[in-house]
Amino acid sequence: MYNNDESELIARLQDEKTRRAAFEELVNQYSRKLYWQIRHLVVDHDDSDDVLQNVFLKVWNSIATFKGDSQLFTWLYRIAYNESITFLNKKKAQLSIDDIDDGIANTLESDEYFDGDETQIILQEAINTLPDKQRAVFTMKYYEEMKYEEMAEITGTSVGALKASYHIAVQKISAYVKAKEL
Amino acid sequence: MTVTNDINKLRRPEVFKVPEGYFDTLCQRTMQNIDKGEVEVIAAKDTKHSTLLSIRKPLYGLVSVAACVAVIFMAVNILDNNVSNDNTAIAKVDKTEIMSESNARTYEEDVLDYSLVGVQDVYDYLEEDYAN
Repeated sequence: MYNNDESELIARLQDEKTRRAAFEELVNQYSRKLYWQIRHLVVDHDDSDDVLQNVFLKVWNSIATFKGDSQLFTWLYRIAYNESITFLNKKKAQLSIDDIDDGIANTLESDEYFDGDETQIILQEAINTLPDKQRAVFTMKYYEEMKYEEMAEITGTSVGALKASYHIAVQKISAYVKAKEL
Repeated sequence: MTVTNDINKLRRPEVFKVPEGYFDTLCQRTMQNIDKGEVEVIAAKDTKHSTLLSIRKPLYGLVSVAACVAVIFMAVNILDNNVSNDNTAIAKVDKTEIMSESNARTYEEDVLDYSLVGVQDVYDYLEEDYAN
């Protein structure tokens, strides 16, 4: 299921003697990709960092039981996806409807780690209107340019359903952006 | 397709920034967090049997069991008393009825013994019966 390098890394991760060094290697190798996957979904940097730390903690605690049914990167992505969705649900539960509506634009305008113009803020507002899972599908395809087959493994959804979900997301976002720009 | 193209034109991943040196220190911070997480787990396991709560925990169990037994004992006693009281009441009623019957019998006997009928009445009755 995975190449020799990955197989060797997994073997070292599952051996207590070499585990720590191998894990540092894993963090260095995958942290950027995982961070950006989370960041495009969660948007705020500090939140993304918290989610990423949780992802690595979960990986550390469960790497011994990783059976290699999927590629290591797919497994990591799946954990990151689940953690991000869990985080968004928790955050939504804590905020009132008014906070959600006003939140994203105000947050991005005052966010020192977001450097977009008004159109980019409208785009993020539009993405924010999507249901969490559809938003995840959209950001994986739109920003990460991930293949539908990979996305299907990560989300546990069929390729057909993902294509339909992405297509609908694009239409919704396009309509939102046009309505705001008029 | 046009809609997709319009949206694709807006794609600017670079608008998202990270603090300077974020990725350089990420691995170190992650390992520190993992160590901290591990220490917390180990510390929780080590102190599990030495905390005041953990020492008292078995006592709480025993006290709870004793309290339950006491409550059950009291409940049984109360129920038993109620049943005894009921039985006493029934017994009292029966006794009263018996005594009433007994009194009744005594009254009849008294009547039979002519204590409530005059002797002259008895003679008159007997004479009349004899004449017929």
